[in-house]
Amino acid sequence: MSVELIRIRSGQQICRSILLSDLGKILVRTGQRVEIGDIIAESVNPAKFLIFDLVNGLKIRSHKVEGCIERLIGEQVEEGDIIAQTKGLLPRIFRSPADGKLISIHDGKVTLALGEKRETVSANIPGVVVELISGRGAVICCQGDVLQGVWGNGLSGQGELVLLADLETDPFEHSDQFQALIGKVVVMDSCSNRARLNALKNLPVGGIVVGSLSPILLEEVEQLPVPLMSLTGFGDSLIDPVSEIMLQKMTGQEVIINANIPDVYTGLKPELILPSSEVSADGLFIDENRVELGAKVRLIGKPYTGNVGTIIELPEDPETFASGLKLIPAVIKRLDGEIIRVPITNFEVIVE
Amino acid sequence: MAYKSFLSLDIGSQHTRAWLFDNEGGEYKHKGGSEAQTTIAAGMNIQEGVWDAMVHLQEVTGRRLLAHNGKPILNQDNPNMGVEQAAICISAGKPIKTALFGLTDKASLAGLRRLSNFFYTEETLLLSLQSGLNAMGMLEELVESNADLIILAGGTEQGAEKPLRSILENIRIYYHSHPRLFKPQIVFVGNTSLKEMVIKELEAGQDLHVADNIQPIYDQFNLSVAWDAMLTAFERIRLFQINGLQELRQTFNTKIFPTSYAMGRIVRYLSKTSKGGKGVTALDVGAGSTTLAAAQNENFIGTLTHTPIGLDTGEQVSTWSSIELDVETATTYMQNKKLHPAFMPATLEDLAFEHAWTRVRLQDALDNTKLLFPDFKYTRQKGLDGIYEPIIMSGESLVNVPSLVQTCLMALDGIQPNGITTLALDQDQIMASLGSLTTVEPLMAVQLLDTAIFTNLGTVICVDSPARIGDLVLTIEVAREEGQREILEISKGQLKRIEVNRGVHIRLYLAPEKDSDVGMGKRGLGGWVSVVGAEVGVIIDARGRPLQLPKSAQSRSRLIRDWIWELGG
Repeated sequence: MSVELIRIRSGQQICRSILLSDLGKILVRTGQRVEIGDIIAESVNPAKFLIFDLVNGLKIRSHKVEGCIERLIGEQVEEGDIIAQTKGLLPRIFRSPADGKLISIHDGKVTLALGEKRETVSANIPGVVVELISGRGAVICCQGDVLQGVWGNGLSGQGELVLLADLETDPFEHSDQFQALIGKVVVMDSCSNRARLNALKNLPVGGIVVGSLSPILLEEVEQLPVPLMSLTGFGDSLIDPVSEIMLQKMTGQEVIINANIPDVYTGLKPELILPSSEVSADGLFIDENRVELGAKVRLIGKPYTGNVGTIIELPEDPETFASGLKLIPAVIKRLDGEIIRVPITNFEVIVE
Repeated sequence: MAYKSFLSLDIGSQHTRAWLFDNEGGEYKHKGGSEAQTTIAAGMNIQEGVWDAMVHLQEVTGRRLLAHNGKPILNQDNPNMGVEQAAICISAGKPIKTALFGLTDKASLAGLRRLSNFFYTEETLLLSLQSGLNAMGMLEELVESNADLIILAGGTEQGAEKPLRSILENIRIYYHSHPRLFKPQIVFVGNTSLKEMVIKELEAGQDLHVADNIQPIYDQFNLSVAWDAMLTAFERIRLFQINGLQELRQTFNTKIFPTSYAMGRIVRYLSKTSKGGKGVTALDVGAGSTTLAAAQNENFIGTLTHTPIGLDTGEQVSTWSSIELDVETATTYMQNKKLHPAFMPATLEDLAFEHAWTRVRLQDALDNTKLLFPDFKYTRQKGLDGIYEPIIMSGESLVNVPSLVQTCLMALDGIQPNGITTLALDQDQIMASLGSLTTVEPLMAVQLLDTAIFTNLGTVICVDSPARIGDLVLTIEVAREEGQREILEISKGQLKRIEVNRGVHIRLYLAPEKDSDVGMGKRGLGGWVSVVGAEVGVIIDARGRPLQLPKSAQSRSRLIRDWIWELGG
């Protein structure tokens, strides 16, 4: 049975691995304090390659190629450096057209890797480097509150959190209020209005958090230059009560929005983080991977999407649901007191 | 016969399944199976899920499989403890970033795409010498692709050597100079006379896998010669990528197969034993992709299809739903299911989405297969040719149903078979596990496949006729064992079920109208058909090909509900 976890936690130690996709150089040290945007690691790849055919380019016979080469494989070269030249009074010369590295001499051809294309990874939370991961990056930890969502468009940002529903008037109707949202992380119940989305993009806001997102807008949101994350997924469901409480706590404060694209293999989920110095957690290693009596859960699937409740019974035998399928159930007491039975696969365990 | 027992592990993206088999009493038997959550997410070790499944398997079978130190008990011929050997197949893992290099687009690259598709790959680069790029451009593209796997074809036997050299040089530079977490694996499946040159030029040691030429003659492919090389490359990549897999391989001292390939082995075996030259096909609709394996005589076709989720797919899903729903709602369901792949339909509406989406995924898998293998006997207009029998269905959406009639209907609508065929269901989802065990103990698969390890859903008789809806297309005489005779008249557009209890044999005389084709080789030609009892019995499908659905959503969903009703679902 699959257990899905969603973290909505206060005063916790939050640790994030910041990793290059391939091997590179780590630019931080253990214990170092980093801020958002600080580069943690970088890999440098050639911007382009140059393959030069010495036989045809220098008009020499293939057996004479080796004697013409002035450099070794792996050697750094600068613009204008002689790579190969013929002997004689009027030597024919091949010079490096730019700074780079000689990476291959093979079959009468030399290959130069020229220029630099850097891939960097930056800190997406402020904190302290607690571990270096060889050749790839580091683990950064901070304290604070975290609110995870289930879908994001891959961008990160930060800003003061504003709950649009809490504003006295609709900011989309009042220019002054709307202008005041510049750079802020705005929270809306659901997002299905293209015009409003575009208005927020053009403002621009620092980030957008929605309870749910209409799939009709998905392509646009994926291209949006502003980070956007959805707390419960797609559709028209509202923000769940547990997330709502956390959002209320974050309101008016500078939060970080990491609208990560969810990835089961890396464990990435989109998240809002409110850094703080307050720590009330039990520690780093909490056994949180449990479907057990008393666990708080958030339901998936209609008609209960986003409902929150507590597991009060875990029957062992399958039951027939309205769909006709026989599935292992969980008995949930919702926050409104109603008791419902749902398949054990159809909820996320809230880790508080 | 000495006592033998075997364990088979199937590691999926969601579930890890463990199966125990032994030959107590002389013949191989399936002793039990278990399931646990796959532990592949960051910070997890794939072995944890495997041990969980094995602990559960111990409980189910009463046989001790794990020692006190938690390690599996192996090389045992004791009927109460351990297993002699194990087999492992895996479908979990990110798609393998793959660069394909060929000499020509039409021939070489087409063949490479057919080969690579079945091994959980994602094409990040497709390059041929016809692409117009110079050597530098190719190298830049290769570096940009960041490929984990490079597959290179090199023309026909005794073909030109020179064009291959520039590609080899680029691969060599990429392999030796590009900093990566692990070395890319290179598979060469070209001109066999160039093998030695390729080995010498690339200097890639165990990361190079050389096979015979998949295209010995222009436009003629033999993909099977490259399977061993692909399997080794696949295994090495997964061992690098998946935490704990290397230890698992060492513990069990067994090779790790792609699940798709393991499933393909069973399909190939069944096709070899099939009578009358008929082929066998299997479709597994999984959480992330749909696997199709089809074999007839020596020809094997295997594909993996990832159906994209978007408004286009939403429209198709809404078309196939038994409950009226709009495109946005259908797309919402699919997007949320992607976020929560373990979600199970609890309401009738969710079940209608799930079944409609399964139909769309089946169609998409067949379309994709046709695209990759133009000789595959399927078109969207005419459906699947009648050469395949049985058609084996597998996967959660097809297995976990309120009634097996619904599985039959999903298969009929999604595949749209022709002629006479049989539908079977891999109800325990054991096919791949059995397939990977064939490498360890081939006799076991042979014996188990003879013991009805798949559920026989029923016989399908499809009537193709140009007649108008409501016109008579077929008359059937049903002769039951007890001597009863019954005459049925089938009209165009009709879907009809004839119940035949399990273990009972009946005979059907098919008398098609002169324009009707029931798969007897000619329009108007009929004859006797013997049918053995099955879960659903016999289904007569006279709805025509392609299936025509009403334009109105209301009428469409009502019609689909009528079909379910007609079949008794």
